[in-house]
Amino acid sequence: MLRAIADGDRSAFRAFYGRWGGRLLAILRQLSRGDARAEDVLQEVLVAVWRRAASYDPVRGDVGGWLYVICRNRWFDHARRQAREVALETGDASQPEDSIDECPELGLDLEQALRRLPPEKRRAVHLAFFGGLTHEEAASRLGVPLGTLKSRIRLGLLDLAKALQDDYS
Amino acid sequence: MSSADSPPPMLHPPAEALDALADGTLSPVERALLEAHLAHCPLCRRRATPAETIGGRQLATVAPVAPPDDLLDQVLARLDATPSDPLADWPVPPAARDEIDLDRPLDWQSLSTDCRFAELAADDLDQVLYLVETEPEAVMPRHRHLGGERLVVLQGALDDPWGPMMLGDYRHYPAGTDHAPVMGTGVSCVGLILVRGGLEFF
Repeated sequence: MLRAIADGDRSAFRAFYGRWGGRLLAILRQLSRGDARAEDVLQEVLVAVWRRAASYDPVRGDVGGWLYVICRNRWFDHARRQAREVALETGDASQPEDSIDECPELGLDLEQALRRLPPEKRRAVHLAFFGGLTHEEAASRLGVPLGTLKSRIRLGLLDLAKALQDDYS
Repeated sequence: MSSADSPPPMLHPPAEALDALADGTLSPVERALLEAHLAHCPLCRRRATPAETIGGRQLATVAPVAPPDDLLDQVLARLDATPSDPLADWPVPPAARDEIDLDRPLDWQSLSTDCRFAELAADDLDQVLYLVETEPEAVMPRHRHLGGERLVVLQGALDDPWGPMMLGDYRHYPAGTDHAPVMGTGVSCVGLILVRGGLEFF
């Protein structure tokens, strides 16, 4: 489908949208904590898919991973632009909770794998990866230096990816 | 350039940079440079990052949310309204062009009679992305990297004391280093360079 989109096939693009549009919006709603701007960013994600479809290489992995990365990068670009324009409010009720006791947005396998991480890595991954906070925001929230937070995220994601691969192998 | 029988090994970005490409923390100019390398490097493309693995799983299992009825029409209208891409005639890979999203003609500046550059975009970290073209066998004017420079070759080749660079190669020149690279033969050398803190020519 992406090969056809890369060739400029609008009907393939419509089929792609039918298959992935709702899932992409769900992910953006999670990252944006329900913010209506998620729909604006979805438009940017879809334009990016149209423009860079030729760059997708199935050897790299499935389409979902490729799409998720576009989604995530577009969301944080948007969040950074917003942060420059509007001072971030602290203590906002829409901020993600530190606890993962209630994570209905994650699939069961992801939630279980996340629960198995050590607490420090789990909180870092939960806030900065699934919760949509920037690394700077998450470091401030957890009271740790930025470098420490990045290290915890990197190691936590490695543990999480390995756990998921083990579960499915 | 090197006359060795076998080409030197390809030069790659560090694994941490490729992981960061997928975690949402890099600026568009940083991503553009890495995407330019990935387009030419099957080895790095093959290395799925943890963020892709986890994110792909999340996307596959999440419950869809119905977008507004007119969202697709709005996107299609944006595609129709997109102006022609000023980088379309340059060997900049699609994913890198998407990150740059240039909406004005290239503004070329000459460094010498056989070397020119055009600023493409910048970020909040005082990093500026340039497209650079230097004629075959020319020597780029010697310059010092005040805050460091990262380079990906998009066409042709070059050589300097750090070694030769070919199509798709990536190299980081730390702050304070200087060089006057010599271009390869045949075609002009075209590259993307990401400069932090400016360059000093002498």
